[in-house]
Amino acid sequence: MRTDTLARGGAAVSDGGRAAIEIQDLIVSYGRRRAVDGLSLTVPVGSVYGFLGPNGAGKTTTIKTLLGFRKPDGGSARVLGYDVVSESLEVRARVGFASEVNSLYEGMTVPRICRFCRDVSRSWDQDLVDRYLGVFGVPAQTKVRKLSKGQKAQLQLCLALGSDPEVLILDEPTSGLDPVARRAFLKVLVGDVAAEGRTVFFSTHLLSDIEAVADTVGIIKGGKLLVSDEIDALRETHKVFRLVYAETPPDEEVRALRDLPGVRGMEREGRGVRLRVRGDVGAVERSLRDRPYQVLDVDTAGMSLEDIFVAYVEEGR
Amino acid sequence: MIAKELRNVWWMLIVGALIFLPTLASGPTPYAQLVEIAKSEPELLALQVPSIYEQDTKIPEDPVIFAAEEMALFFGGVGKTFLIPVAAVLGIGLISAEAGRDTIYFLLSRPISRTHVLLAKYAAGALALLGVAVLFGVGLIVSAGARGYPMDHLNPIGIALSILLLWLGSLSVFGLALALSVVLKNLIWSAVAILALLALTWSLSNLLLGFWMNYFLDDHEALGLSAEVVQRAMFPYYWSSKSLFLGRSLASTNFAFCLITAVLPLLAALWSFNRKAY
Repeated sequence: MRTDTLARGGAAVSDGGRAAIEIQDLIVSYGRRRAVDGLSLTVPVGSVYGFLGPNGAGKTTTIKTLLGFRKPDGGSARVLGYDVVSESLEVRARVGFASEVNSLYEGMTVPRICRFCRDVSRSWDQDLVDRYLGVFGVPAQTKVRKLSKGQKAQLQLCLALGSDPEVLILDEPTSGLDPVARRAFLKVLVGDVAAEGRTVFFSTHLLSDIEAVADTVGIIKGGKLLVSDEIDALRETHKVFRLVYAETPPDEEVRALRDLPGVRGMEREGRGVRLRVRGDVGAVERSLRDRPYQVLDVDTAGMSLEDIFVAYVEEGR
Repeated sequence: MIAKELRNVWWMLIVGALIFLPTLASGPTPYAQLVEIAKSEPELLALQVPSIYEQDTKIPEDPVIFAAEEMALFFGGVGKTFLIPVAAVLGIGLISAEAGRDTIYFLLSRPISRTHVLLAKYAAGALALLGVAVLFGVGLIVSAGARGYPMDHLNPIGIALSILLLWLGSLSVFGLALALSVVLKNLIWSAVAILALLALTWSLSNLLLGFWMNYFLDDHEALGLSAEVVQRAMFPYYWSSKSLFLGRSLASTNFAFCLITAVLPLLAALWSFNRKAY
């Protein structure tokens, strides 16, 4: 039975409070090793959610669980309100999937693989598939094995869209593609797919892809979610301050800076101190203007997504 | 779904035909030779019958009847020998090949149940196997006709049912290979496992038979044993029946046995596939 779910955690949920994907305390193990360890996250309907993490973080395992390839050892996951275990068919009827690995039937021609997908889908829009094949320039009559890696990834995306899915789940879709193919892929993803209001959940370790496409990001490491928020909100709450003192600050001042709420990292640079701050940036900024030692300059800079990602991953060690 | 699977297995018909053709071309014993033997040395006909395997066989004096029995034995013996590897080859690749090539992710991401996927693959493989069995049966009749066998003594319904029984029996090997292809992700491991399993079963059966023949042959009646009891321990025993081929019985025990041994591995494969993590 389909249930509407309410937003929890960082990201807001649109569309009358519905979450496209809701994962709660998910645990997935390979033998004794937990690949996903108590993961909870919510993907709002209509968002483009970048699922970011280093290799082995548990991204692919999470996606496999969402699609019913694996059963969770604990917790639960729902897609569009459908349970991924007991209502897996309903989930897959509404989800399009493309993966990093080439999982296409190499011996089939493009039209034949389209027919096969049509036969095993509840609905199929061949015009839509043909349109995207045309946009990508994928040869329409060729055998799959004769396509380049980029064209295979593009074909996978076209086939994923053929069933007119509400949610598109992509597992490292641009991994291994050359810059031209990757740009074409992302252009379609942002310009067409996301613009049509579909929810896109895609895993990657390529930060440039996330910055180009995603509006919301989740960072996972060791099977645990480190953060999940809109990219703009992340940038607002992650800043770098550089203080230049008139003289080299004494150790007690350095310790005091380190103890400020929200300071997540600090580096000394001669008379300067560089602070990495997360959270209430304004409060930190105010306290920096009122130091017991003479501060010549306070410089504030935003953090790139890469800096934010590296900071979370390193803190998670 | 079935259309895709049928396209994947149709080549097995060609392989089956290629395997059977040389064998069918070289046997059964030409009818003229049987008649000649019946006239000159009728006692030699007895040598044509593997009496240790067919205790109930009474050596017929009429070469026409004997020829029909010769065909029945040839059909059962050769059919089993060739359908076992064909069934194994058909079964081992059905799931493990998909897993090995990662196409399993493409397949399982579609809104079709795993039961549907497996049954579609099973149906296509079973149809191909039936095609191979029919090819063999028809090939045998053509071969026998070419060798001068009188066709008017053959029972078409008995032959058709024998083909059906042979096919049903071979489904046990097909199902076993399919179950292994679910459990083992790798095609090579699946192939090794089914080969090992078949070799083990075959060797054990033969060892048992050899052991019995060596030690109890003289005393088997005293022990209440018969050669057929041991023979039945060999798993393809029930895949054919001479009396069914000749239209003398319906061989319901054989059908029941083959049906059960066909269904059990299929159920095991379904159970495993629905729990398998990819």
